Amino acid sequence: MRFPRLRAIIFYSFLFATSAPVLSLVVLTVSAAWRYPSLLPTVFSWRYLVSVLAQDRRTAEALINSTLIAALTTALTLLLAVPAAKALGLYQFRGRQAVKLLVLLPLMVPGITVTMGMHLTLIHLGLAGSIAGVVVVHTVFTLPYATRVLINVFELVGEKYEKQAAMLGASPRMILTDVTLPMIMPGLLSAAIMSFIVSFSQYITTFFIGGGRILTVPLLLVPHLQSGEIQVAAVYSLLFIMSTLASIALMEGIVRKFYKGAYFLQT
Amino acid sequence: MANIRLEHVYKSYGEQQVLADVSLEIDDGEMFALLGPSGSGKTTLLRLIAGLEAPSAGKVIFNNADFTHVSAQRRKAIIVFQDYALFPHLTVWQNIAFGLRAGGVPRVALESKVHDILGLVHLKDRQHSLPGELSGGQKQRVALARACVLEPRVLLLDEPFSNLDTGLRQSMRDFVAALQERLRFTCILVTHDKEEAFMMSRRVAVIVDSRLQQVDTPEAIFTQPLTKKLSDFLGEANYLDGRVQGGNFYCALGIFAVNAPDSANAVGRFRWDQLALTREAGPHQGRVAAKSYAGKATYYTVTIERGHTLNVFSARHDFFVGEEIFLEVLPSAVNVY
Amino acid sequence: MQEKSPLLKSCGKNTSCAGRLYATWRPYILVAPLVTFMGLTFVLALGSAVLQSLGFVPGAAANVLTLRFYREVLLESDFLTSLSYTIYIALVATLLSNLLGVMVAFVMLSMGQRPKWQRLLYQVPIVIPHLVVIVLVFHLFSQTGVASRLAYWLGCITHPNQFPLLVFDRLGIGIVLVYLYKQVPFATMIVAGTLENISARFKEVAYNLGAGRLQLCTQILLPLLMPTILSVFLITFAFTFGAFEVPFLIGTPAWNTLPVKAFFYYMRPDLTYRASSMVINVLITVISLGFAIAYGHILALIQRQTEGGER
Repeated sequence: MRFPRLRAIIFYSFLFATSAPVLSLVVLTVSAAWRYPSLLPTVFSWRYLVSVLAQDRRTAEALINSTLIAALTTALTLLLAVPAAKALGLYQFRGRQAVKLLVLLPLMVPGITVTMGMHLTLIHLGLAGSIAGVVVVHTVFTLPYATRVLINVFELVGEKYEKQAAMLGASPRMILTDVTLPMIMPGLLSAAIMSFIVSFSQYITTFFIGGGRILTVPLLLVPHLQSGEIQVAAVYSLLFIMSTLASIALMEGIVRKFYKGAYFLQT
Repeated sequence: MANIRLEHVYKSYGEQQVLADVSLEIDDGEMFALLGPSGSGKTTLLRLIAGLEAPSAGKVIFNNADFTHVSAQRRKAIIVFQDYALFPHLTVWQNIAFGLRAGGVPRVALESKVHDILGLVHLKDRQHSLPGELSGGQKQRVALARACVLEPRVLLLDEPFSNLDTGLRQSMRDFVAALQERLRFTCILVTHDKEEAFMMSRRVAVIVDSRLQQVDTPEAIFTQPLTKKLSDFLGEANYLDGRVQGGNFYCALGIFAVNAPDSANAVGRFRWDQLALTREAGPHQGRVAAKSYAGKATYYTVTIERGHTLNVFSARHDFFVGEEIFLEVLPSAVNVY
Repeated sequence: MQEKSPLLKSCGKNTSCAGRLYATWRPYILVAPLVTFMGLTFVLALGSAVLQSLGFVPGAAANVLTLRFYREVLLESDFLTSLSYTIYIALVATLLSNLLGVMVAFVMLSMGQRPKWQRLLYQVPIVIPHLVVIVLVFHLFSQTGVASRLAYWLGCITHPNQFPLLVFDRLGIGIVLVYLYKQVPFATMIVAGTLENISARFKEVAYNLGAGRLQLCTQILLPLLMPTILSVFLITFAFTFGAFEVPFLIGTPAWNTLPVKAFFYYMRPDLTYRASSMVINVLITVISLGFAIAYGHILALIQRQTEGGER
């Protein structure tokens, strides 16, 4: 064991670097004044928290929109990704590689290109400026993540349990609810969480496709960032992190409630 | 090459004891087998000898020098792993040369050593292949070559044949035996297969439930297992209750001379192949209750007087279920526990 | 059972005929919704971008297919500057985050299994969106930020103006800091996972054959880790190369990265600029895909060496 101290220093400063900024963000949200050389806020106050969270009606609207869009995006993503991931993970068929490439390609193509490219189409379809249009664009960016996770899960689980269930006389519906879903649940959960976070974090896509009519939390945050109102931006950031964490906890909670005590959640 | 001695070795992980009081001596150049069921601690013992684990107590001694705290890198006690663990990104040649390079062997000597061992394991034409391109038997030979080229103090084979098909398994056993004969390494074979252990070595140690049960010749272990646990592990035996008095064991099958102290509650061990069925009148009358054909022999279940049920392993296939037959005990040692 | 009519032979029971047909088509039925969706959105978007870059902009004055806009954009004086600035930022951010990520992963491996709270803590940045990280970097590294105040208290500076410009700066340090905060934990997480597996399998073998720590790292762990490192490198590079928000919000006003440039073109009232915007978009996409293809070749080369191996 060489340089144990050096390695501990590296690791703990890494931990510090990942977590301390978030703490300082929390401090920032409760500071009313923070004059220059002072290391801690000179005046602590709930002012910014209250004015942003309670007095600004747009905050509630943005939060509801963000959550609704993220939830719909997650649902649409899973609906498209689960069957496709099953085919891609379990079966060999002509064109499999091409489909895989198609799904993963949005990871390689700049988001702004796709967004601008879709802008016209969505205007023609009358989806621009609507929640539906935003959900569709977000889904393009969540699909690669979700599909990749689910392909891995299907490859890992394989087809044998479904086949065994069929041999034991289970109906397709029972196979789905009692075998397939529980077995892929961990992957399904992380795919859902990832989709939710990716959708929740979108700024420029919502900006373009929403056309100024759809207000989400990032759209509220950015103007304050640009005008240097760092405390307000910090409050929105905190709101952002908190609502993401709450949603993750909620999703995990639901899954654990309905599939409680199952060993597969640990895989 | 080395003589290896274990003195009162203990190993536990937290609460769980894996090895208890194991003392063992393995001679220089010997092919020694370590036999036991899975989970008995035999692989842990192998890892202790290799230095991949440290014993909780006790000593590991190579050639009268205490090696207990010598690092794995310096022990030259090389394991051939069950799954071979060949480095997938290195060619056969590079895999074999790995340990020599690690030990700083000069280029010229290294090349000639690798060259020689490649010839010995018949892999010259595959030296540039990657492990993924080799068959199971070839992989195993690479793993053996990779270990042997280092001229180990002791070569440790961890279930080396269990991943091979039946036919290949026998030829690899012969190959390893011939290699050991030729290179004269001290060699420890870990296996759960008693026939493999018996066939490949002249001395076998059996570990059951973390403890060394017996170290002896294959014949002695087969015919006279010292403990009930060992007997259970070997299996294929009937147990009859009885009592020991004045050097004799009294039970339903008769009276047998045994080497055991007097006891009112004793259990006698009669191997399935130690009993024989016959149609000629004998001491014990019985009836065939069940029969199952297993190729080179047939298993019979026989009920005798007072409801005792015994299993018999016979080369004769012609007794039928329900037949009244006679049972005799072949002259061989009887063990009492 | 022995005799089968030709009909039965080919089909079995009536249902299994349909069943067999279903089995053949099942994968296609399963991927159909996804492929349709991607076709109508992603593929159509790329097609639309290419068409617009060739001058076919609905609503704009002239609708002739032309390479004029490509020529114009490529000949613009600051195109090369933007391109090199974009590559510079992507390369610095990606190299640093991969380097640090691999280093931390090795450190973690040598420190043994970390408790769960520590593993969760270091993964926090992965779920924090870039926008929030921008706020953090602003707060910590602007001239009146926390770092500047610390420098003041340590006596390094006496006035915020003396603190180096780390946000909106020409070197893109603020941008790189945002990416590092997000990507180092990401690289660490992915690399540490693979590293643990490789190490669990080969560490003892290497030690047993007499190898030291250094040999284990350089000859076994690093080569086997290469495909993973490359994947992480490609994903992070493609992302930083095409990312808009971070350079847009805390980049220097002096230079624009290509995505930001494309954005400004697109937002101009004169719709013909959309063609120029799409030219840049197409160029970024081509460069990104070029990297992906090169990556594919390199990966195939390496994998012939590793995954062609066991398992």
